[in-house]
Amino acid sequence: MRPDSFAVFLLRRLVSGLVLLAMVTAATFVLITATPGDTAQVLAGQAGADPAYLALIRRRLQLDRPLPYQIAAYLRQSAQGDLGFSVIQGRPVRDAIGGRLLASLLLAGTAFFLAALLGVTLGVIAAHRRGGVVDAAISVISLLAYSLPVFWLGQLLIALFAVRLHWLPAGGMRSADGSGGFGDVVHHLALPAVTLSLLLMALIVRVTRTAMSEALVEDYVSAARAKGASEPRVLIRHALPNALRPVVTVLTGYLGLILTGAVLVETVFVWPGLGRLLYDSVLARDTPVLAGLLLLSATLVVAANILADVLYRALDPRTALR
Amino acid sequence: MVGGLFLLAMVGATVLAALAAGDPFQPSETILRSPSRLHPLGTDELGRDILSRILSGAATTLKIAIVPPAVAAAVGTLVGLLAGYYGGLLDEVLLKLMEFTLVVPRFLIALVAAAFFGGHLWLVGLVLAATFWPSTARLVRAETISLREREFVAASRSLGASDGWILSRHLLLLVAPVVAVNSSFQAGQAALIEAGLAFLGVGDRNVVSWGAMLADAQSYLQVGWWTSVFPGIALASMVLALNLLGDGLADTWNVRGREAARG
Amino acid sequence: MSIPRVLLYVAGALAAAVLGLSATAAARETASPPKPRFGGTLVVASGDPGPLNPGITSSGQVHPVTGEIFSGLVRLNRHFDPVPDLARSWSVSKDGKTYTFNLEPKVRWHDGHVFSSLDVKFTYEEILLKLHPRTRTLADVIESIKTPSKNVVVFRLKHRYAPFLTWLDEDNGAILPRHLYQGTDPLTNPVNLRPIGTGPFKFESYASGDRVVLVRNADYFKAGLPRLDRLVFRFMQSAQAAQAFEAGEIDVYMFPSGPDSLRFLNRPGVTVTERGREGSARVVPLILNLKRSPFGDVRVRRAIAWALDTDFIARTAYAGVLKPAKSPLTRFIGWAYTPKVQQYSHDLTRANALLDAAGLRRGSGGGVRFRTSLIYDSGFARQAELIKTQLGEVGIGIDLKLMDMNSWVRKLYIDKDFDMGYTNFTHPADPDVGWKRIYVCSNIVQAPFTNGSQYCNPEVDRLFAQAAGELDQKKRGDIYKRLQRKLQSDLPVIPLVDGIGPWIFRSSEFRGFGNSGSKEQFFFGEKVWWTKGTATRG
Repeated sequence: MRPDSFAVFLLRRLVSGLVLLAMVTAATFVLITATPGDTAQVLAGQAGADPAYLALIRRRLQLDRPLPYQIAAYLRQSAQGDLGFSVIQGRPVRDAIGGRLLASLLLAGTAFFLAALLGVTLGVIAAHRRGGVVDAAISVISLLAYSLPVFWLGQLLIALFAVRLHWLPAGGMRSADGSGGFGDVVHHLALPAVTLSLLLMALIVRVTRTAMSEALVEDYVSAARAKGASEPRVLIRHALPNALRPVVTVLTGYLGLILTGAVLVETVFVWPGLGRLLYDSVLARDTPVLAGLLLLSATLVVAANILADVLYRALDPRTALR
Repeated sequence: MVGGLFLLAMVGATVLAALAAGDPFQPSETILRSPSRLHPLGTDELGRDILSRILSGAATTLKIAIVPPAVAAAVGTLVGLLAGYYGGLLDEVLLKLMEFTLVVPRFLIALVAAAFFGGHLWLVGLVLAATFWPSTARLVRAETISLREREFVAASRSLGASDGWILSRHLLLLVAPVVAVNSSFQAGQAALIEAGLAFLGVGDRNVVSWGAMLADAQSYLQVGWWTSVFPGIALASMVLALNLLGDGLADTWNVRGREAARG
Repeated sequence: MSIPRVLLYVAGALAAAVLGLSATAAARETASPPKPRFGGTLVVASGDPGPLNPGITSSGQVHPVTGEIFSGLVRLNRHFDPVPDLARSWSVSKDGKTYTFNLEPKVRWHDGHVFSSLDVKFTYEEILLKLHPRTRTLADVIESIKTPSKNVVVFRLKHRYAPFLTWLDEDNGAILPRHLYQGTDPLTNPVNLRPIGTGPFKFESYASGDRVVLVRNADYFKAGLPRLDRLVFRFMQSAQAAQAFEAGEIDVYMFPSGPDSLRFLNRPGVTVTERGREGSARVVPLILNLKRSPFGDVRVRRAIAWALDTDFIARTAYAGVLKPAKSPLTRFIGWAYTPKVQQYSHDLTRANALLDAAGLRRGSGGGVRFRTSLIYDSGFARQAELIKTQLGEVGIGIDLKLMDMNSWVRKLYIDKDFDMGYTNFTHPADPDVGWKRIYVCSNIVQAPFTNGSQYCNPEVDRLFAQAAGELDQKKRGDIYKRLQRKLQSDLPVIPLVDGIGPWIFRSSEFRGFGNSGSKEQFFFGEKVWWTKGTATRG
């Protein structure tokens, strides 16, 4: 294999990503054990703290082993998909997380899609009419969207659309009378997805505008115009694809924003996703679930970063020519 | 520079009004009163004057928006300069550290820390500073690497300037704009993070926080819209001002917006 | 007047009388309560319960759900007297030490298995007496449990124990299926997540973090019940619950805050009531850690009581729904309650004087005498902030530590690592069941909802023991009154407010609340009916 070939590059990124995940896991473990009260005590908390009982639980959950052993055991098990057992929820961590994954994907995916659609559109318009009133207006709107606290916006939207107007539900993913099908979920998805998408949309507008502005002054655009191509065609078929490359690679970095926003939006809208699970497990000191969620989050970010690197390299016109 | 002026106006108003306003913690029987002469922004569910609480909350927000980014700027600049200029082991370690801290979102780390160790303002500030400096360092490192090959650096060296001189006289001044822009955006983030933590109930209850006010207001939106609207406007305005400041600085000093906006 | 005319008048009068009588009869008929209807879905806002096993927890988030799925031997009516549930009838021996229960004969578990006395014996011996936070203290009282036949279970006690029957409801004595739990670890048994009980509703589904759905048990042993078809519990916090109720998405709001209750008080179609919640009566206390300086000094404790303005706290933080406490025991246990104890009105002069006398001088410039901290959860947030302000006026600086309930329960009751705290447990039914545990030396243990202040007074212990053995209610009441006087003088905990706290339901759609008992928030589903349901079970 050539040293700078794609395969080697990918391999190196994967290895370094895995090392990173192991480090994050170890750090999470240290954090969790540093806090007062272990799982045995949480469990016993409901039933009393008879020392013999505590010792029994600790032996069963292997909490009496030294820390490096526990970390190694956890890494080994999680690589096989076993993230431990949550005594607070009474089920395996994998089930606790898996049960909420779909809801979060639905919310995040819809928000991302809305943000991308609206953001790219507005960004293109702003770049096209750069320096004008429309550009300024779009800038102001996007800056406002970037500055609004999602939890404030969420509660205002609920107060208006759910309580005052009764157009949309106040929260949850489905209606309680179980009649809900796809349409019911969409009905419930509307407000939280819009709220979550606004922040991301603002950023996408800015990035698209910059990238698009740069693309529009390139030679191939003037050439296309000189050949008599209509303005929309120039924008969409010539400039946009080249502008999207930096936009796409930057998008994967916004995962952190989605993860953060998800916790707040899911709380306000009582959406049964992973963000609320994180909040609930932090409050309930459900450390196995918390560790599992942090690991999942880190995995997503690392994967996104690797993907970004791969996309950047793959879409780089210089490497594509080889 | 609209942002800068806006921000200055807010800070000034806070200071002035803090001298004049009532006690933000003084409860009374007049709960949930709408805005009036006596209480220009109304009272909350414990009869406290909302205007006083908004001003007190401004102090909290400013503390968290100024101090951690400033500390992060100092530490990040130092580390970034050294790593970029000298390369080698320091650079390797820095890169690994930066990757590590960027893997878990800042807010989640702060949430876990606040919930487990208590949401004291200084603890949140510490966590923020600890997660802000690596991204500042990364920016500074990148700038330093591109700057160190410039002719003026070689020229300085040939004139007998020490590394320390080059770093502190030339490079520091040249990276300052990037750091300033980056820190402005970090300040906005810090304000939102503190408010978010307070909203979720893991903030510091010994100070007034706009986020906590917004959380309490949820139950009273129907009977007291002022308990939610005014703190929300205050928070959005503060964050907006900080973002405008960052934007304004970026335009003034021609800093590349995209990188800096990442915070 | 001529005779025919008189006759006419008399006939007319008679007719009028008959008409009048039948009219009133008709009026009384329409004024009688409407007949319950069948069908419908009721939606309740609650907290996420976690494992649905009522035998291992007293959590107020689990029992609203499990109370609909499981049954106890008895249930407590609104006056805290036991009425039949799984036990059809019972008798007590002359010496008060043997309780014989005749069980309902044709009860089946939700999976079809037949219920018997063996389930009762198993549940008490293997689960309740070992793992239930309150009921495990009964292990000192119960000597043996025998099952002479399939439908008879006999409890033999070690000594007379007046409140024994009040322990046997679903809250403290839910019966679990032996055929599913025997030989397993009750804490991790997967049946906890798909429970099988004998109650009015069967478990259908549990969407993690979202809702629990229960459906009608068609084979419920009480004929004609339940009336609803489905019962849905949606998990959310109280701020979201208020909004959801406003938006019409939930029908029952179980633990509203004071200001929330006020907001819905005069809303048409909505009922705010304390009926059915009598079992939630309690005095909310400020708990002081007597082992931490300076709370060991009774002068400091009294000073705090004088400094607090409980009237103001009741009027603002509780919106007047709970009243300022006049005694450490709730006024809802009328036969034992007395307000004739030392009262601590809002008197800053006395508070300051006592603190000075205790040697806690103010810092420079009229400043702070000493600093301490208060741990609490969001249910006490307003109160905590008021307490901080009020005690600040006498120079006590308080660091507010807001945390989740699990954390403060652990810090206060298990680690004993706190200065001041509060608690929210109730005094159900009998002072021996809910109130004693706050004060007796033997309850200074590492278990939740026990003697958190670590107050220990042998005379108080003696009085409590004496009261438990006394079967004459008047004499018992007198002993408890003596205890209240003593405890109000010693003040290991400072009583703040006293009351029940209402619940809120949508009466335009649902009726039948407030008639089933004193802890109705745990089993209202059985009798509630939907106003738009069908007249008969179709």
